[in-house]
Amino acid sequence: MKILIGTPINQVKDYSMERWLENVSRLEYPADFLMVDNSTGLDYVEKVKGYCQKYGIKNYQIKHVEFDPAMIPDEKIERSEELIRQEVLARGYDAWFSWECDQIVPTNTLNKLIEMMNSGNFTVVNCNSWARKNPTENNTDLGCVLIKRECLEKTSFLNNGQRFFGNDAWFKIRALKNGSNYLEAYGVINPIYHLDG
Amino acid sequence: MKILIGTPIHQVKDYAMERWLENVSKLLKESPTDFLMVDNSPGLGYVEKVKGYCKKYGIKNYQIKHLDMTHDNGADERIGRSREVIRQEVLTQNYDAWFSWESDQLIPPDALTKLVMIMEAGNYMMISHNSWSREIPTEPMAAFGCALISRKVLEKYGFLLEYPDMPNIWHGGDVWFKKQVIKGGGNYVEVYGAINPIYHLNE
Repeated sequence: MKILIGTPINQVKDYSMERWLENVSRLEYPADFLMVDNSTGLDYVEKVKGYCQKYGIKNYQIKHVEFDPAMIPDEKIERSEELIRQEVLARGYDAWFSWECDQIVPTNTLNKLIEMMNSGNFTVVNCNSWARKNPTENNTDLGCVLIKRECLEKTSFLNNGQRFFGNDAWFKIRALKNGSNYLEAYGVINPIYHLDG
Repeated sequence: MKILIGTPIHQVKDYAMERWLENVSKLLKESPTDFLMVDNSPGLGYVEKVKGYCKKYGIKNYQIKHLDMTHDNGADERIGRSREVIRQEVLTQNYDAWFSWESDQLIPPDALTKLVMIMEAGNYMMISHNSWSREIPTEPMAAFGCALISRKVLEKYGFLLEYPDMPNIWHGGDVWFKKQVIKGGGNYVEVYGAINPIYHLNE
């Protein structure tokens, strides 16, 4: 299965970035790796390149998108995710591993997600972490999710003028309406650390 | 896998009961399974009505237990106490899993077969399949409406507030149950859109 790890990044997540990239470097399943930086200016791209060098990550791309600084984070994230979606579609990937840059996961996580996807021919497999601000609350946004190409072909991240807040929940509903199926797994991949600043 | 279909029932769901029991009879033809209903209606009148529906649809392998609630503190308590009766049945009669199937959900006859396949393929302890919310048909929800729960989690966790480490309200008992499973090192999955169609009947 040809997989793209795709992650929106921003300088506000620098508190976790180095630990996350070390984690990326240890992931067992071979996959291409794209970061979409939506920080203001190009400085953060250079800093991230330095982390990648430190942890020996060579097979990666960083795309920078410059948004209006007044744009809310949710919109920046969704527009960045749409760029990743386009990369998956244009480059013939079978699936996108959506892995947020504040989540530290076991090194066999992607293998497990693929196993779960195959366990029921699911198009989306979403693994929980705990909410960053409330460690007793389950969190299944797009933090650690494997999404098949066929779902991305039908469902985008641009929401036709509706509000951007909570768009991962809207993505799920639209994906279901488009005929995808969805597995949300709790406690199957352990531990997942959701880092807070 | 030895499975018990277990369902709390109440006369307020009579609007769905006949259609549901017809659906049960079709599922039992595809997956012969033991079947327990726990009636928590006031009095015994509704038990007799349900027996009539079972006869009409040829359901013979079933039990109905009646749970008389001395003080009716609302649907959440009735359901929680009825689930505990089902749990005890699973534990004492050596079932491997409980198929929790609410009496207002119509499902395809192969639904249980599919849930078993997913549970075994992923070695999951519990699977909840979504329906759409009864009152908000655009909102997906995965609770105990169509769920397969393995014996090993039922051995550890129950439904009565009288048990240790339980909240002090009956509302949201299924959410609490899932949280306990994870805190105890277990796992569960919620599945959306794999079994279609599921009709969540509203009055």
